[in-house]
Amino acid sequence: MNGKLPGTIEKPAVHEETETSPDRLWNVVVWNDPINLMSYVTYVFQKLFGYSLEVATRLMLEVHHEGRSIVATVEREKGEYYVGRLHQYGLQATLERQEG
Amino acid sequence: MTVEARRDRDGTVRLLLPRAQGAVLRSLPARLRSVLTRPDVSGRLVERLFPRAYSDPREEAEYKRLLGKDLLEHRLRTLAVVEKAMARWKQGPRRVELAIPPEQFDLWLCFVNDMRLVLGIELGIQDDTWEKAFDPAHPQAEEMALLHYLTWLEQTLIEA
Repeated sequence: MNGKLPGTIEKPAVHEETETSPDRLWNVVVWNDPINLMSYVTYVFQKLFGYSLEVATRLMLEVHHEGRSIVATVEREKGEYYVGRLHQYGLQATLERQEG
Repeated sequence: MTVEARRDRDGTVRLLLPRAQGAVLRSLPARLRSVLTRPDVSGRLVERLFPRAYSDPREEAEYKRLLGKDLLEHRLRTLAVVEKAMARWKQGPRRVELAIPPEQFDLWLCFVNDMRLVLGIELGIQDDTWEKAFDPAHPQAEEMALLHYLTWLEQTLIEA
């Protein structure tokens, strides 16, 4: 990813969306990309998942530095909705079964 | 000539651009539509604009069967909204004023970003170094300049 950061991180929070359900859960994974802007990816995470700037920025930086980040863990149908929306925004996203 | 961007109280983003920049923007929806709909579009563009949702081929095939058309339809609907808005631009002698209502803001971001993705693929961008400096001697300097311009525009919209 490219570009400047949208804000300063003081204390990253850990409130990614995780739903508990007897059904198997799926991870929504976002992959790094050399064209998408850091600020754009952060904006999309905030808009789509309702994350705070701090959480969205931390996840964006994880994508940037680690190559990928699990941005939500949800039931499959909702995961497919999120992946579809992320694709609409031009982000590379996939679904993976949660381990364990 | 400076470019102004501001957000009104009702959330409308107003962008004042030199006419030449407005003309460049107006040319892009048709170009993006031709990329999205032409049957001979390259594999890398398809992979980037319509990425996989699953690594498993069977799950991916089922996903594409059920939801694959939605992504193309979303992009074409986005282009229709953007073109309609462009037809209503206020044209001054030197500048055009673009007003983006809140409900269309993300569509404009998607439009600008999709065009950036297309340019990035066509330019063969593989890493993050491209944005650090613009090389006028680049063999595709015009396309690279357009990518830099749209990057600036996207950042301006996000910060408005």
